[in-house]
Amino acid sequence: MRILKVIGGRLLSMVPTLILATLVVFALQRLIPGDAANAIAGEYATAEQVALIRERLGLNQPFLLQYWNWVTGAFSGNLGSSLHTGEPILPLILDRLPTTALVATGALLIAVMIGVPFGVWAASNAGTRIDRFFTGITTVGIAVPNFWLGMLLVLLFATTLHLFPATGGADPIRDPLGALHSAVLPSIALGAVGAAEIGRQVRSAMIENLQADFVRTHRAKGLSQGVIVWRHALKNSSLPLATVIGLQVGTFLGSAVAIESVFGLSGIGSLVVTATNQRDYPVIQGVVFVLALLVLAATLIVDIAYRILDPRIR
Amino acid sequence: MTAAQLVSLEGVSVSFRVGWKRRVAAVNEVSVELRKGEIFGLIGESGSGKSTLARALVGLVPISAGRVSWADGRTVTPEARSRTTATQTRSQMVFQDPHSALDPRRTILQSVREPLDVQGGVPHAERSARALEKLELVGLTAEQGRRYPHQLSGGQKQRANIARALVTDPELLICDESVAALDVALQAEILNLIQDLRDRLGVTVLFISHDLSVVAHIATRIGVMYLGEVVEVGTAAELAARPLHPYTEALLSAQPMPVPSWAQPRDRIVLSGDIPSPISPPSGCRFHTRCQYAVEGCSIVHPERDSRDGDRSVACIRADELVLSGVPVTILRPRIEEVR
Amino acid sequence: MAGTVAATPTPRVGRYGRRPAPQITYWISLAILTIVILVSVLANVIAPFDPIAQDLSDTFAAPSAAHWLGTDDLGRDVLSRMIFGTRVSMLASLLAVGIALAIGLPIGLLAGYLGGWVDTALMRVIDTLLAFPAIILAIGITATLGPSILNAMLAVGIILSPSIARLIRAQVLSVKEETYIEAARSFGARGFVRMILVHVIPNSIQPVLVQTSILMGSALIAEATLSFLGLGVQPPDPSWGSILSRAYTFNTLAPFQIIVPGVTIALCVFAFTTLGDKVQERLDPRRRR
Repeated sequence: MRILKVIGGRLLSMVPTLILATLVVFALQRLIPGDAANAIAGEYATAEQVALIRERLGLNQPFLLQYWNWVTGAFSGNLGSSLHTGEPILPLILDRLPTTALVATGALLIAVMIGVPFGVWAASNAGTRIDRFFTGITTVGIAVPNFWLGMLLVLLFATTLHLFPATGGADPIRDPLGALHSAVLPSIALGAVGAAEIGRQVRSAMIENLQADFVRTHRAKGLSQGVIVWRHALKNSSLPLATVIGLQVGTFLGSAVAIESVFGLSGIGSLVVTATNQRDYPVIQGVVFVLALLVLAATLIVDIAYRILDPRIR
Repeated sequence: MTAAQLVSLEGVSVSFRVGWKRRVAAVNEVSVELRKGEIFGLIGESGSGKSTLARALVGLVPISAGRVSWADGRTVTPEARSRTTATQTRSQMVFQDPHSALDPRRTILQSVREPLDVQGGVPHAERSARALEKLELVGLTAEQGRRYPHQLSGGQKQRANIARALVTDPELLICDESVAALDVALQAEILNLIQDLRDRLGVTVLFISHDLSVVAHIATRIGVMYLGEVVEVGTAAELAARPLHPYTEALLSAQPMPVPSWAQPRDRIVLSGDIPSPISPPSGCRFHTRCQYAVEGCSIVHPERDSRDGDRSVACIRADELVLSGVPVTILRPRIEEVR
Repeated sequence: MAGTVAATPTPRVGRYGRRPAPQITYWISLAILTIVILVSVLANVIAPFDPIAQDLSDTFAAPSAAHWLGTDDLGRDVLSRMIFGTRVSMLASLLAVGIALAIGLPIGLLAGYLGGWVDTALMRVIDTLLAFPAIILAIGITATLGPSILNAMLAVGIILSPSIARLIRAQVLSVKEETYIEAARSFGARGFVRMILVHVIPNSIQPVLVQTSILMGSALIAEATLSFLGLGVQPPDPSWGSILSRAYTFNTLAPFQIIVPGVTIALCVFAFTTLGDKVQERLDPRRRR
């Protein structure tokens, strides 16, 4: 029962975040000199045509009213229509979401599966040359731009070795295997850099724990280093670890968006870039909203997961 | 307000809000006076409200009831919320921890000067000179004034704190556990310094401590506080010879005696239980739950502090009947010749 | 987006009881950054060609004596573009970090010093910003305001400000409890100038300065990413990200052009991050007394 209350509370606290985030993007439109209506109407439109468009888009209404209309629509599933093509936005986003989500999930999995063990290992050998080596490697890892790594991978594996497709991605729903195939390289690119980041944070979370007194007690009891590290310290670190991973979900989703142009994937990223060039604000807003929702939902899931895992929080 | 009084507290209470609704009175209707040029020692355990009383006197917390009347006519009441400049220059405090009381990023001289910088009043050019003067007074050199806190020892830092407290020439110097963080040899030095300063400057000192022997060393009069109230006042010699309040007796008996246990004149009084929470204090006399002499009336009547002969006063309904045992005053003041 | 908020801690004593010696990576990082700064400042002097001068007769030239790094798709000298790009990328990152400080410091200071509902409200806003995938917000802001390097760096600055705000707030919270603050209040200090400028800020600022170095690394990657997406530096201006983007577009014709900009970015971010890490290690309060 308590869990449900917690979930309810978290869901409730998500709402102000969502509103704030979308309000920021919505408000920014106001800062632009000129007008969306002008941008759409084009250079040769007459004043009346522009005014007409403005009326139709509801741009004459007070700001908050516009926002209210949009936000209520958004929460009920209607994200408006693209200024450019007139298509409804939500289906547009949902159509492209699986591609991006696939890459993001793949990257997250790779990053966690590599980063966490290495981070723990480095933490248990803290201060030694192994550890310094690890820190050096991970610093390089986070310094490398992930999209550049993607490029290198494409050059090597796709263009030269022809093992993976260089560009284009299959739709995960209609062609799952093809989609997986084209998601491999991007996932690796993101995952490698992400592993470095996660590794660093895991290491720093674990170091605090390993130097704690309870470790000394366990060691005095005669438990081996392995058991201490993997069972006890890890369990105690589960809270910060889960927080770290939870925070990374958003980052991976964001990176997946950015990396799409390298691999020619038609996911959310390319949608946003196109929308930017076309000044298609409703689309941008819609994307921000959906992504924010996803990130918050993911954080919520992680949060619940470790409340279940760690009895102390309950 | 007699000519000799510096400041008089009448029915002063200081309370804080706890949670949404409840209030806790850290200081409960305290009436006491400080006389010019004396060193008044205030002792009590932690939680007795002595530090809160000090902060009220120096203006860091507002009083919630009663009034504080200074010799020159200024008064502080609960309504006078903001700390007036008057109170600021009038009383200054020396805090307990010498290390964190000085800003680590400023030199000693800058820190000692700071009250003058804040309060204005003294022309810019004179301020460093005054600060140096005070540094000299406490036994620090100008060279030390140029150093940073981490380069000074604990004792030197506390001297600097005292110098800073004196730089505005206050009438009242409040020392809140100012020697508690120092080792015993240093304690004696600082205590002697404080007495010296009193003699030279004529400043009144309110010395707060939990340690009776420290206070007895230099105090003219001593006040004993328990759970926000002053329960007994008297000189060190009077208190030691014949305490009037059971709590005072217990405190005295807790003093370590430099004789083997078989030679000790009486048994140690061990108070039962812990000090009650100030949020819901015991009814009637606040000490009755731990007092070995308590009778039924003690839980009903809240004793006022009445004067006895001379300067003594005590808050206990049985004060006249009880004969409490004291300790030889030499226990409190081992080297009585050195006390000036 | 890369860039950890807190640099990794290093325990004082290694496994065999020896303290880790100041390492060679520190000196390498310092060297890298010095070179980068020099190049940025002296760009006009040392670049052999005009970075935007085109020569369509000599596109995709291989590295030669005249063009050390070859030419790009419009015949422009890559080396000169990289040199000027250094200046652009550095300035852009500085701008972003500057904005992050300008936003984050006041917010964190106010929240920490005033406490109460001000603190709660401000931290809510900060946490909201943090809950967001940074890149998405950066893209969103830049997209809405219009692609330009200024807008992009404004967005990045906004993204980076929460970590500064959190950091200084934590410092202020602990400084607030120090006795010298109470002492100052006891002799009447109250105003903004005396309390905050004289006492609070000097005692709180150190971790922020360290973090600045690490944030420069993050800003650099952010600039590269946004420019890569066409949202940052606009053509024909060079920046590491835009050079990389262009090189990749034509990667079938001259695949190796993507190496130099990428390596440069990585080296520079590595240097910033390592510097920040090392400085934080040295300043670890456990070593101070």
